[in-house]
Amino acid sequence: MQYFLNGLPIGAIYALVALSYSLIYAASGVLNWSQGDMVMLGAYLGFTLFQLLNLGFTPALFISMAFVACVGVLVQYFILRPLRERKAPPINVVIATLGVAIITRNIALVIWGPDAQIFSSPVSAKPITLGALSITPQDILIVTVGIGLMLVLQYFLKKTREGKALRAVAQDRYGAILMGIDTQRSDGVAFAASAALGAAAGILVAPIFFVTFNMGAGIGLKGFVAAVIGGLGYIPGAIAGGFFLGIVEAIAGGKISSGYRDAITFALLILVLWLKPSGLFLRKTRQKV
Amino acid sequence: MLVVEGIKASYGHTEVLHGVSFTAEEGKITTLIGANGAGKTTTLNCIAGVIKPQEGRILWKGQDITTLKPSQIVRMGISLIPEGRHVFPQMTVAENLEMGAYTRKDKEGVRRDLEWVLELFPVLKTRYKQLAGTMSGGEQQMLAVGRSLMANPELMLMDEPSMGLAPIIVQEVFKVIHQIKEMGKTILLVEQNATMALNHAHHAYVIELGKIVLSGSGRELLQNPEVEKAYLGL
Ligand SMILES: Nc1ncnc2c1ncn2[C@@H]1O[C@H](COP(=O)(O)OP(=O)(O)OP(=O)(O)O)[C@@H](O)[C@H]1O
Ligand SMILES: [Mg+2]
Repeated sequence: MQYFLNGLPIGAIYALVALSYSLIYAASGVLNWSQGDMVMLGAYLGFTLFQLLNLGFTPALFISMAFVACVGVLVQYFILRPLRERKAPPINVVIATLGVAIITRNIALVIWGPDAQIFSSPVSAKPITLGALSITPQDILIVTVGIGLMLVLQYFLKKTREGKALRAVAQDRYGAILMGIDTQRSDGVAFAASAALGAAAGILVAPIFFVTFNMGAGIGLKGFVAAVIGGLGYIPGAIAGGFFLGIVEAIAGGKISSGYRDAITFALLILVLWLKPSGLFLRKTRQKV
Repeated sequence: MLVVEGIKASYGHTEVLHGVSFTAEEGKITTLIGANGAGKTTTLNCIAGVIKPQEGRILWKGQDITTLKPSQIVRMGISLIPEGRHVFPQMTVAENLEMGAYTRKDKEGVRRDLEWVLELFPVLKTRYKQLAGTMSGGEQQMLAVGRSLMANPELMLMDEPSMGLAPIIVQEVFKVIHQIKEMGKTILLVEQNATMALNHAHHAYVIELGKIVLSGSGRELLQNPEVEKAYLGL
């Protein structure tokens, strides 16, 4: 039970990153490898706004999310759109997003330098004990904000005009075009929302890990594994996959050794790809957003 | 009036439309019949702006729409009901209909149109909250037509609406097409079910290998021996 609790905050973070992969994949069929670096950008911006400029945690969160969302739109507009228009093969698009990842990483290196930054938690990291269980206010903050953002995403996808258009494009791109939906625009919306989710994950994870220019690689990969476990492109699956991975890692780290944690993650990935490539949580055929 | 003038279109380096020309008169049913691969779907996609012809022009009510984007063409009152329906499977009937009205701003008009679409298709009313992907082929076809009507189009392009449906459902589809025409809408109907199409059409064209080879009133083509041999003698 304690391991379960320990796995929740990191699970929430994985879920946010997994969502960012799945949303773009569902909406535009692109595997965006710069997603992890949007996490890193979010963490750095949050660090700058919260730590250096002394803004509150909430404004720092929203401003970084908005800023990184703009970065996402720029990536879609200047990288993905021209490739799309030239009907570039998917592998070229994937390589282009890898390029974006490397450039982002280097820009961060230039701006914030090579040293790891410490993001001090906005709330206490001292555990509160409830009987045999303990949880820190920081963990509670991460899980609450994480779940809050997932609810906002659900609302956006189910209730707003822009969100419904995004789902339509994800479910039938040709059908959506015939309805007069501008797919370039919906791609832009997907990139913006995904980048914002990544940025939020970055700020939430920052107090747990150090903030470094190459932190995106690790967390990006974990988020991707979570997305695949849940079924890439399947929104509820991304959430379930994120929490599942977080909890499995906490149990593995506690029961076996934290040194094996990453090995277990990737063993899990291989197992899922081998036994059930559509993801653990997808029952019917292809189901999307 | 819809005027298609000498359009040529290709996939990659293969030209599949070699100068297709025809017209569709307002308030009438015009049909385009032809065998598999003749270029019917490609032609409709050109009109809807999904495929850009390399040559030729497409005019709607005197305005050149050849280079417009699909979203602009929808806003001009042209809606394509695609081959294979392309409804949104994980959305409810209600949401699908709502997406049909995506480009519209007149809330009052949308509400009115929704009311009569549900009247025209009672099945959509009973399945209002059902996911489109779980409905039968016939129901999905009705949804595709209803969704297109939600755009309040003046010109409806229909690509094989009877495909894969049981004969009794096909009858129903054609009844609906007639009702829609009665409302003053212009219909361009592509069909492989040539007998049905010719029976209902004012004017008909036969397309073969990317070219219009015959035209006439529906009745004329029904009695044309060549048409009979190639398309009706089933
Ligand atoms: N996406 C595509 N890529 C390459 N070639 C295509 C594509 N779509 C259609 N074609 C080719 O273009 C030609 C015309 O196809 P089109 O779909 O317009 O025919 P159709 O008359 O609608 O046929 P059907 O009755 O089978 O629907 C065919 O030779 C087809 O093979
Ligand atoms: Mg066709």
